[in-house]
Amino acid sequence: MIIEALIAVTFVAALVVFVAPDEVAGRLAAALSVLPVLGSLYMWSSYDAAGNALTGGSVAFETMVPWLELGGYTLHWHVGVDGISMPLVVMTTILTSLAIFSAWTPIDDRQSQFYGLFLFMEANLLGVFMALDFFVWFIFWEAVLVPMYFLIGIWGGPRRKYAAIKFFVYTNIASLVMFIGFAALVFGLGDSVSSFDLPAISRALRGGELGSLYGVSAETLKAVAFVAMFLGFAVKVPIVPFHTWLPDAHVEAPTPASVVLAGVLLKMGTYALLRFNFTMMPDQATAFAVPIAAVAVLSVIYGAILALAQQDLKRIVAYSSVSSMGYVILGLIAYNTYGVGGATFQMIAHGLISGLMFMGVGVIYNTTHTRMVGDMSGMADRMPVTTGIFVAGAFGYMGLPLMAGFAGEFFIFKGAFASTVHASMPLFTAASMFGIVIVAGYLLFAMQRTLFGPFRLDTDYEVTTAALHETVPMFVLLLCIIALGVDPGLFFRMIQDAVNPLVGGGLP
Amino acid sequence: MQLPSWAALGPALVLALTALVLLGLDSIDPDSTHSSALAGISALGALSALGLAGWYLLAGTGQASTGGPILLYGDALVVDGMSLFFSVIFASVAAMVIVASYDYLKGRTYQAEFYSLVMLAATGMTLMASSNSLASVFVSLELASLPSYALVAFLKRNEGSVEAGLKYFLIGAVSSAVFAFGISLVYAVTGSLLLSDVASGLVDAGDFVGVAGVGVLLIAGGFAFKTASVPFHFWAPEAYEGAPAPISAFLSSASKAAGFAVAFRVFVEAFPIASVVPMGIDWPLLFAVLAVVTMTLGNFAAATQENVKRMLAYSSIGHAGYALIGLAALSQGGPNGQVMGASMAHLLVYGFMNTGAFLFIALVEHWEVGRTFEDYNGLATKAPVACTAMTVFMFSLAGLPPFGGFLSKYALFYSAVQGGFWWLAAVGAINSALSLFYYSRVVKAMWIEEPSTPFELESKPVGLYVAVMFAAVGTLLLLPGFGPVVETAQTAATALFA
Amino acid sequence: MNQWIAIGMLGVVGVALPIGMMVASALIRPRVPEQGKTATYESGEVPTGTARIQFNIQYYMVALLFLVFDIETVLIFPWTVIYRSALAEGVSLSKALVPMLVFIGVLVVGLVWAWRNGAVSWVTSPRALRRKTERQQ
Repeated sequence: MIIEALIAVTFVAALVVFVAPDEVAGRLAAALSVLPVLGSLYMWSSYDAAGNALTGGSVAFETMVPWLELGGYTLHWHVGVDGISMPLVVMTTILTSLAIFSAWTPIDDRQSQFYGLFLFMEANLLGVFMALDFFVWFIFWEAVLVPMYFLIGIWGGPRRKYAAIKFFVYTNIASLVMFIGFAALVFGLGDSVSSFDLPAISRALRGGELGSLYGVSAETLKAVAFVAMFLGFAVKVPIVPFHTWLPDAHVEAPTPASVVLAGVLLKMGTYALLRFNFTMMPDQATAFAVPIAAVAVLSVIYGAILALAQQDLKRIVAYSSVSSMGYVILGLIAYNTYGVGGATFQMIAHGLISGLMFMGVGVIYNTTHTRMVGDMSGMADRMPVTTGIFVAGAFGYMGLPLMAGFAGEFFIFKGAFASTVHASMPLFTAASMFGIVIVAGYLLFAMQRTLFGPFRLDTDYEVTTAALHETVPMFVLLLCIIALGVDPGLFFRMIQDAVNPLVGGGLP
Repeated sequence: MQLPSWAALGPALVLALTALVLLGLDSIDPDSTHSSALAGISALGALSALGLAGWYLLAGTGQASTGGPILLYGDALVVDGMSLFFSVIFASVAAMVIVASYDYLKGRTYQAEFYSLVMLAATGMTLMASSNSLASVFVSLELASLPSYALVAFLKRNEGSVEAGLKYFLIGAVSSAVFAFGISLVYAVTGSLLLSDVASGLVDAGDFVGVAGVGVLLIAGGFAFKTASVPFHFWAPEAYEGAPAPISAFLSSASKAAGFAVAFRVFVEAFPIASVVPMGIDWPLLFAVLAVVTMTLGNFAAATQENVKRMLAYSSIGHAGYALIGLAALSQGGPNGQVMGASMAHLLVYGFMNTGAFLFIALVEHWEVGRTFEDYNGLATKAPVACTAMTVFMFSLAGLPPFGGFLSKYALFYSAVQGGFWWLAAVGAINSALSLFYYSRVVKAMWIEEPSTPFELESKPVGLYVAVMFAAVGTLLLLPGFGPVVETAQTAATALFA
Repeated sequence: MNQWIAIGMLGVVGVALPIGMMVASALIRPRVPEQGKTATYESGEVPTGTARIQFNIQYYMVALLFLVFDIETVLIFPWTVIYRSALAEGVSLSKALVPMLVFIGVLVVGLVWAWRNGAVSWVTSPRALRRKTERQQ
C-alpha cells in the first residue's frame, strides 16, 4: 500500500497547491514535497526484493488488483519496485523536492499553478517507474507530458510556445508509434497472455511464445515491434537523430523544469528501453547491436561537439545531456552486468549531476539575467559558494573519481569493453571515450571564461551572493553525488541484483 | 416486490411527467418567471430518471439475468440493457444541461418552455432507445427532433440562432421524409413494422431485394441526419454554432447518442447481417465508408476553424465517425457485441466530455468574452478552475491517456482490430492523433497566450460551474471506472446480437 | 387474358374521360371574352400589393390548434367505436379507459398552457396590448 499512498499523497499535494493562494504556494509545495521524499526513503530502507521484476524475481511493495476487462485482456492495477526502479524512485522524489526549493526565486507569476503542475508531474513520474502493467504505465507515461507542456509553455523563455509545442508533438507521436509496436507484440502473443501485465508479457516473449499476426511471421513482427518501440523511446532519451526537441525545450523551460526534464524525464526513455526492448527482446537487441551502438557513439560525440560550439550555458548543459545519454545506450547494448548495471547507475548519476548543473546555471541567470558565456566573467568573486558547488558538479560531469559520474561511466566502459554481443564493441567503446575529452574541454573552457578571471558583467544587475534556498539544494545534490561516488554499492548492489537475471549470469 | 412491467419505462415516464408539470406550472402563472423553481424541478426530474435508469441497469432489468428484454405495448417498445444504458446517457446529459441553463437563461423569457422542451426531447430520445418497431422509431425520433428545432432557435432575437433553427428544421424535415420513405419501402417488402418481423420477412423478399435495399439505404440516411454523419451533416456546424451553448451540448451529445441507439437496434434486429448481407444489402460496408469519410472530414474541417464553438461542432462530426465504427466493424461471426458495446461506451464517455466542453463555451458566452481562439487568450489567468476543466475535456476528446477518452477510444479501435477491421482502426487512430492539433489550440490559447486586451470576468455563475465541474470529474472518473461501463455496454450489445 | 389488361384499360379510361370532356366542352361552348373574366377574383375584388406580406401570427395559432385537435379525433373515433364491445368482452377499465384519459389529459395540459399564454385570444393580440400599455406608461 505504500506505493499507492506515495502516489496519492503527491496527487493530493498537487491539488492542494493548485488551489492555494499564490503567496504561499511555493512554501507549501516545498513542505509537501518532503512527504514523498520521506516515503521513498522509507521504501528504500525496507526494500527487500531480489531479482528482476520482469523475469520472475520478487517485487517489493507489490499490489496487483484486476482493473478492467477489455476484449479478452484483463488490465490490472499492478505496481511494485525492483532493484532497477527503486533508485530511480528515490532520485525522482529528491530531485523534485530540491527543484521546488530552487524555483522560489525564478518563478514570480502564477505560482500556485506552477507548483501544482510540478507536483502533479512528480506523481506521474513515480507512477511511470513503479507501474508493472502496460496500461497503467502508459497512462502515467503520457500524463507526464501534460504538465511539462504547460511548465515550458507558460513559464518558459521567449520562444516558449514553439518549444512547448515541439516537445509535445514530438513525444506524443513517439508514444503513438511505441504504443502500436507494443500492442502488435501483445496481440502476436495470442492466447499465451491474457493481460497487459508486464512481467507476464516479458516471460512469454522471453519464452519465445510469439506467434504470427495477420500473416506476419513472428520474427518480422518482433523486429518491427522492436524498431517501433526503439524509435518511440529514442525520442524521449533522446538519441541523436531525434534529439532536436531537447535543446529547444531545455533552453526555453524555466530552470526548475529543466532540472526535472534532464534529471528524470530523459531517464524515462532509457528506463523504458531497458524494461521493454532490452528485457523483453534480448535476441533482437543483440541482433541490432551494431546500429544501436553506432547511434550511441554518435550521440556521445555529436552531442559533445555541439555542446562545444554553444555560447549559452544552458544549451551547453543540454547538449552534454544528449552526450551522457549516449553512454547509457552504450551500456545497455553491452548487455552484461556491468554494462546494463552501469547504464542504470549512470541514469541516477546523470540525473543528480545534470540537476546540479541546471540549478547552477539557474542561479547564475537569476542574478545576472544572462546565460551567455561572453557576457560575464569572474563570477567566483561575487558568488563564491555557488561557484564552488558548480565547479564541483562540473567535475562530477567530467567523471572525476569519487563522484557518481565516474562510477557510472567506469561501469559502462568496463562492461562495453568486455561485451560479447558483437566483435566490434571494443571499437565503439574506444570511440565513445573521446566524448569524455570533449566534455572536459568544453566544461573547463566555459567555466574558465565565466567563473574565473576579473569580474565583468554586461548587464545592469546587481550581483550578490545567492540565497540560501538556492545554494542548499545544490549542496544537497553535491553530497548525494559524492556519496554515490564513494560507495556506488549504495545503489549498485540492488541494480546488479536486478540486472543479473536479464543478462544471464553474475559478475565475470 | 415486483414492479408492473410498464414501470420499466420509468425513465421516459418521469421525463415526460416533468415536462407536463413544467407546462402546468407555467399555466398557473404565465407572466412571471420562477427560474430556481423551474430549474430545480427539471433537474430533479432528470436526476430521478437517471437514478431510475441506473437502478434498473444495476438490477438487471430487461437483461438475460432477469428473463430477457421486456416487451411492451404490442412489442412496439422494448426495455433491455441497451435502452437503459442509453437512458443513463440522456438523463445525465440532460441534468448537466439543465443545471447549466439556470445561469445561461438568467433574464430571458420563456424559461418554462425551454426546460419543458428539453425534457420532451429527452423523453423522445429515451423512447428512441426503446423503440422496437419502425413506427415507434419514427414517432419517437420526431418527438426528439421537434423540440430540438425550437430549442436551437430559442434566442429568437439573435439572427444566428433563428437561421440555425431554420436550417436544422429544413434538413430535418427532408431527412424525416427520406426516412419515412425508407420505412415504407421496407414495409412494402416485408409487410411489417416490427423489427423482428421485418427480419423474418426479408428472408422471403425474393425479387424485391432491390426495393428493400433502397429502403435500407434511405433509413440509413435518416440516421445519418440524427447522428450528424456524412452526408447529412451540414446542419450540425450551423445549428451547434447558432444555438444557445447548453443546447449545442445537448444536441451534440445526447441527440447524437439517441441516433446511434436507434440505428444500432434497427440495423441489428431488423436487418441481421447473417441473412441480409448475402442478399447483397451490405450495410456494414456502407457504414464503414461513412465512418471513414465522416471522421476524416470532421477532423480536417475542425482543424481549419477560427471559432471555438464551430471547431467543437466539427469535432463532434468527427466523433460521430468514430462511433460509426460500432456499426461498420461488424461481420458474420465476428465479435460484434464487443464492437458495438465499445461504441456505446465511447458514446457515454463522449457524453460527459463533449457536454462539458460545450458548457464551458456557455460559460464563456455568459462572460461575453468572444468566440474565436484569440478571444480565449489568457482566460486561465482569470478562471483557472474552469480552464482546467476545459483542458481535461480537450485532452480527453483528443484521446490522451490520463482521461476517460483514451480508454474508450482504445476499446473502440481495439474491438475493430479484433473484428478484422484493422484499417478502420488505423484511420481512426490517425485521425485521433491529428485531432490533438486543434484541441490543443484551445488549451494553448487559454493557458499559454497572453490576453490581447485585458478583460475582467464579473461573475462566477454557480450553476454553470457546477455542471462543468461535474462533467470534468465524470471524465476523470471514467478512466479508473471504465471497466463496469464497457462491461455493461458490451453485455447489452451482445444480448442484442443473440 | 392477362388481368393487367383490365387495369391498363382503367388507366386509359381514367385519363381519357376528363380530357375528352374538356375537349368536348371547349369545342361546343360559346366564347365571350370579357375583361372581368381575367381578374384574379371573379367576385370583383381587386388585389393590391404583393402576396408576400406578413400575416398576423394568430392565424398560425388557429391553424396549429386546429391541427392538434383534428388529429386527436382520428384516435378518439375508433376508440369510441370499440369501447363498448371491449368492455363487454371483459377488458378492464384500466386498459380501455385510462389510456384515453391520459391521452386527453396530456392534450388538456397543452391546451391550458396555450390558453393561459394567450394563444386563443383570437381578437386581441397580447403583444399589441402590452405595447399599448407600455406606450401609455
